Amino acid sequence: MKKILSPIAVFVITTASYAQVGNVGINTAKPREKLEVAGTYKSKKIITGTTPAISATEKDRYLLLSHSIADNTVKKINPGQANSPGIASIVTYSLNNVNGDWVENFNTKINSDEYSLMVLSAYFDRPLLGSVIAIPSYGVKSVNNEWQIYADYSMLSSATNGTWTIVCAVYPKTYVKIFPERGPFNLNNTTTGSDTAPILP
Amino acid sequence: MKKNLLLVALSFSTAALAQVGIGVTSPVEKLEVAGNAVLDQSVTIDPVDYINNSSGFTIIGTDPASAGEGGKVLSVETLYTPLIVQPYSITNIYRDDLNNVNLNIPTDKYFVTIANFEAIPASGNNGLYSPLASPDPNTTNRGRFVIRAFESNNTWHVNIGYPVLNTQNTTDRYTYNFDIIIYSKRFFKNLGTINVDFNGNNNATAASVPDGI
Repeated sequence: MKKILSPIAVFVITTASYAQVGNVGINTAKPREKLEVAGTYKSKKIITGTTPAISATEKDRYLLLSHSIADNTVKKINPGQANSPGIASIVTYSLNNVNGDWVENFNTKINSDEYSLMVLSAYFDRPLLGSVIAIPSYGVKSVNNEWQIYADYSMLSSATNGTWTIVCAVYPKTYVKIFPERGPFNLNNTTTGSDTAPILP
Repeated sequence: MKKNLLLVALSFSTAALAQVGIGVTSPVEKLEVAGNAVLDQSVTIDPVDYINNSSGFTIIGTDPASAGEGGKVLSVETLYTPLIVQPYSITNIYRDDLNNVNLNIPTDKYFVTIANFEAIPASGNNGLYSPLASPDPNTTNRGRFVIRAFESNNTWHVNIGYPVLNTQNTTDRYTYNFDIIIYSKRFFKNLGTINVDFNGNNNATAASVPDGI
């Protein structure tokens, strides 16, 4: 039995009419706070009265906590460590020597059941020629449970094969939820519309 | 129910069924500490309750280097969140060319992207110059729109505009409004740039999933 309970603390607590002045240690003879457990701790839930907000001195030091569904432990998230994921990853794809400007599809091989992939920004590297003005379109679509990237100025093309630079965020689906597509919203030949049943009103 | 620690201490070899209070005489929870607690090594929580709405929780973090014991638990609700949105308004831009604005955000700590872009032409600015009514589709340059954040001298810079198209007059001015999304590298892992050669095709497949996800 490793447990060490401070006799002073136990005495003070048993006498409820006295204010408690001592600390309680479990597996430690010198508890530094009201309760110190030198070892592992398990509970159904943890409630804290006040959790202080991050201060300026802590802003470059603090790490997020996560609850592992594998062994139910609370762990730090530190992407600075090798093999440690962040809460998301950012990846830049440089798609070179594309036929004109049209990336019909680029298969990232990222599993769309496990991850959400979002294009954060995209741009093409050379002039586009044609008789019309075009709107650039780029994004991702899921094909056979893998994320594919598309990018194009439809109706236009470049004189030589070009490069798209596409920055993406990769979020685990453990905490990013993708809802089914809403719509189509028919604007009935007008230029305005409204979602009358938003998912997060 | 008012219980004391002595009874619990005596019954450690069996199960403790009552509440224990440290610094509190009427504990409501199984263990209640009126004060600070230090939990060494590891903390385990039974997986019972899950968050089921989007606004009813606070993210918590820990400071490994906090004074005293280290590992102070902190609330990330109000200050220095993992994701920071900084709106910008850049006015009086020469024609459409915002070539380089140094945001002075350090690249070693943060990754940034641009969102919610808005271009407002100043009075008299008729926008980008439109070519003739019947242009040659093989030679008429329709430009390309660039909106990007780039790294230079350890800080983030912004470049927005049509590099090879222009406004009609040199006196034309734009205002660009946009949000800079700042991703702290302590929470977001930057996997770097992956180069893919399309070999002149419209389709390609990555050699593998990005290393590190």
